[in-house]
Amino acid sequence: MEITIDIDDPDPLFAQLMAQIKQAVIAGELKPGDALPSIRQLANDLELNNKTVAKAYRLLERDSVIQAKGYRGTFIHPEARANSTVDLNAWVLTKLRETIEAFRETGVTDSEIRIAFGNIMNNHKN
Amino acid sequence: MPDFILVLFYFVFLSQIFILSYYYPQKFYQRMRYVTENFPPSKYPKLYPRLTKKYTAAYADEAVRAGPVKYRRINLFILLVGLILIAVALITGFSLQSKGEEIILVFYTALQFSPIILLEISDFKRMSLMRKTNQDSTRKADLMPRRFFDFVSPVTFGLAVFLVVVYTSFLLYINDFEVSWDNGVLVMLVTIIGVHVYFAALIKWQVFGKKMDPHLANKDRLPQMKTIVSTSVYTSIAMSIFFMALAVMDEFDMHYVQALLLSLYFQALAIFGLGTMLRSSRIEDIDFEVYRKDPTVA
Repeated sequence: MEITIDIDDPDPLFAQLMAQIKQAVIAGELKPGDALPSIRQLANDLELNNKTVAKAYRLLERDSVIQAKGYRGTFIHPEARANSTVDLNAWVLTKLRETIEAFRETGVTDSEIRIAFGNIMNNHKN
Repeated sequence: MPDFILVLFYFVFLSQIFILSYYYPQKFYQRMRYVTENFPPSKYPKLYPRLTKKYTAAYADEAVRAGPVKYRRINLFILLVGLILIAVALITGFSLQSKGEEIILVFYTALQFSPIILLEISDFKRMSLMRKTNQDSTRKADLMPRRFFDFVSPVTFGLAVFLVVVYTSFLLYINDFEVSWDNGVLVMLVTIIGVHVYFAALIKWQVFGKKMDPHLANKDRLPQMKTIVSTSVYTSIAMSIFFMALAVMDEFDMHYVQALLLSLYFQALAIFGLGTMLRSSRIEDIDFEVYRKDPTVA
């Protein structure tokens, strides 16, 4: 199965990689247990930085689409098909929209929401 | 020295001249002609980055056709040199006494291999320029992991390792386990280690490293990788056998067969190296459409 990325595409490279692997899982081109190339191999073949591919693999592992098995390599997760349809970004957007709407209904201003959001994110980082 | 050894040497050397300066060069010449005639720079500019950068399309088409002819002429000249060497040897009543004939043989073989080495160097430069001038924004990769044993069988690899162990053990045994520069044991050990480190680096670079040719389709990359891996493993096997045979001949004071063994060894290298390359990658199967000016134009 071949993967294609476009470096001029506005979508980040790691997101293109993730989307194509998920699409391949949904289409049945990648099946549970199938081995994936190593981070270095894929990065070299696509002429990308190792960190870009590592980020895509890390997020796919978080979404339970792939699973790393130490030195044996990276494989497609047994539940990959079901998990590939879950879009965490869309879920985050929906949840945030609902929360922001609730704040606005109680009279909180947009600037107060921004400051509070920034503070929480900054504290979380620290 | 028995007479039949000299007769045998002449036949083996003739076979070397034929294999290295006619048979394989002819195969490469046919491949080069197939490419230059069917995929000229005017239609496939990405295949010839230097020519298309330097010349007009019409002149580039002409210039590219000269390459195979030049390659063929050089090989025919080298073939002629080999035949002259045989004629001189026959006229002067040459005999195998291990008095420099191996050096002449090594120099002549280097001359025979030089066109293909120059071809490889020019190919390397061409691909490097391809990467620099590549303006495609899309990049493709296969989602299949590559492993060393996809390209060579574990049995063949095991045999190569076994022969290296047997040869080094044999070398140490016949030298009473004395490792020094004086008896040549250390030189041989350093050579064996050096050659195998080079093979390992070459395999790592070709199979797991960056793409040399940015346009080449993934399906066409795999045979090239197979060639590198199998050539390295087969060369290791041939080298161990050759060194062992040399050591045995040395033990029995049969120095006169050294030139014969050398010639056989060089032929084995050519068959394993060039032969594997030609067998594993058929030129007709390579997708040259990736080198078109606009790949969407049929």
